[in-house]
Amino acid sequence: MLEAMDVSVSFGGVHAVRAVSFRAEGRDITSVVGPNGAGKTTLFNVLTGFQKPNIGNVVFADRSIVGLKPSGIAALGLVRTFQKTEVFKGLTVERAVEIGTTCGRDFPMWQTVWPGAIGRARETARNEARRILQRCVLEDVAGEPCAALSYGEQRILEIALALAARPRLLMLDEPASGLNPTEARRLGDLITSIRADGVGVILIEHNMQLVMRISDSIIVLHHGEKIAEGTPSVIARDQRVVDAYLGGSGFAAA
Amino acid sequence: MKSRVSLPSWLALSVTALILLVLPRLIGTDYYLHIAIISLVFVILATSLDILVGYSGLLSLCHTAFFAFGAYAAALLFLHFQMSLWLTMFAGGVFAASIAWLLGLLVLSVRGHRFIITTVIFAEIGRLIAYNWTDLTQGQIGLSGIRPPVFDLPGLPRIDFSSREAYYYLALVVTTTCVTIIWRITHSPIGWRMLALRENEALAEASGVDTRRIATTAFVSSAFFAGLAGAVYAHYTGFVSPDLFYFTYTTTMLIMVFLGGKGTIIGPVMGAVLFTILPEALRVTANYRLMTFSAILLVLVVFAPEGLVGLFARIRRRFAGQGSVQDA
Repeated sequence: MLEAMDVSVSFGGVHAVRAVSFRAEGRDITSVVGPNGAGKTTLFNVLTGFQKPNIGNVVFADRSIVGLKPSGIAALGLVRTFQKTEVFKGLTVERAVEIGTTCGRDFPMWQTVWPGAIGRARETARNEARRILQRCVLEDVAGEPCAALSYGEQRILEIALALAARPRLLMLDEPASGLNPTEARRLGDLITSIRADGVGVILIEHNMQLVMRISDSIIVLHHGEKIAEGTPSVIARDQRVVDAYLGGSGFAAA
Repeated sequence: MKSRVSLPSWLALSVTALILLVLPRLIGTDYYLHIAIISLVFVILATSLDILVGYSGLLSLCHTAFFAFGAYAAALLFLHFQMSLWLTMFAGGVFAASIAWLLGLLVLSVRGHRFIITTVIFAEIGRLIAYNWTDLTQGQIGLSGIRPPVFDLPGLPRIDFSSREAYYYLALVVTTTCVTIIWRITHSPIGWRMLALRENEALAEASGVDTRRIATTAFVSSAFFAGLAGAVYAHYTGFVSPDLFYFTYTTTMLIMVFLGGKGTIIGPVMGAVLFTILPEALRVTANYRLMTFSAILLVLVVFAPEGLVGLFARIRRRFAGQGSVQDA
């Protein structure tokens, strides 16, 4: 479904991502792990159009998406969240998700003066938003301003907003960071339920327990290079991965 | 996102409509009618600026330039081709919108102070063109002799809009139509995209909003209504000059939007009416007029940071005793 081919990005001579290739299937959870500064988020930015690669190609749903705007890529069904929590702060949760559902749909200017068109769009948005909020267990806070939600709830809301854009492949950048174990488990369940609906997930995550539990395959980045790729059990035994993490974070403990 | 208008709102709307309809009978004198007409023009200007400043979060300081471009387009089309307001209204709007589109190519790729400063410079360039292209604009002398239209269709009563009263009704119809369309734009999925742009541009883009495109839509539609208002103004006063480009007009419009309540449409409507009437009403304070006006502005800024709309909402909440999250 998504294929990166020899993607390289460098900032002023520093290689953030070096000749990375990988495939993510449409019905899998593919995790991208690696120590801080390994180039995970830069890779995400390339895949979603926020960063142009110096060289390399990205193919999504049988077409090259390099050079497309982020909104164009989102419209194709490749939707991302951000490492730093991003929500529509001033709006209520319900409103934000409603808006999210209409963002990718065309609504030409003339329809604003067409009787009933706005009402219909609003009705559709409301129903879709209700469904998404239910699924993410956010109905109880639907009327709250986004900024009033707890940190954990905001992280779930980000996923709700991404789901509102009707993804075929969802890319989550450290969704579990800052979550307590209960919240992290709830997040893991949400992610697996998304896969169960036939939506693929690409996950950047430091919570190795979560990664090992839900991933179908794992890609390990180190200093911008892919050093390993495989199922969770293969990765856990990979010597290069263990070496890369030793002295870094506590990967071996997972 | 209320789908239905509540009963009190209907009542308020009906009473307002009734008052607006009989207003010429109530206030009588030409001077008051003049203020009413100018308020109506400012209502279009403030609500159209709200599309940009309130809904899209783009602080534009050149709104009066689009107003002036519309006014000049109307004046020239009338003086050279005898086109009436019925046509120059749209021509003025389209002309201003086209200029906004071109300017947008240049400035909508930048945000924050770079956008703000560019818009100021643009308004000044507009003024310099109007001032120096004397063959076309007569420079500082300005263009005069622009006449109000005459409604003359076979089988229908002939209406000459050169009387203040008739022009008031014309401006009322045009303003109501414009505000209704602006309301519908900002409360449709197009307006929601503008909100997404205002609230979080990166997230909007990631959600599938072409932020460049929606910013252009906001800029162009906002300019269209300002240009249209320019035509209504030109045919009313009969005179346009480079002074229309002055920064003070933009400031006035921004005060109307911010102190009325940005991002609400109804706020800028109230702001436009209040801040057109207030400076006139304060003439009773003679030499202290501007000082009093400034003091009132300061008090409002400090005690009603969300504008009149926010102030009313707070008062209502205090009396109702219960708070509710305000619809953005």
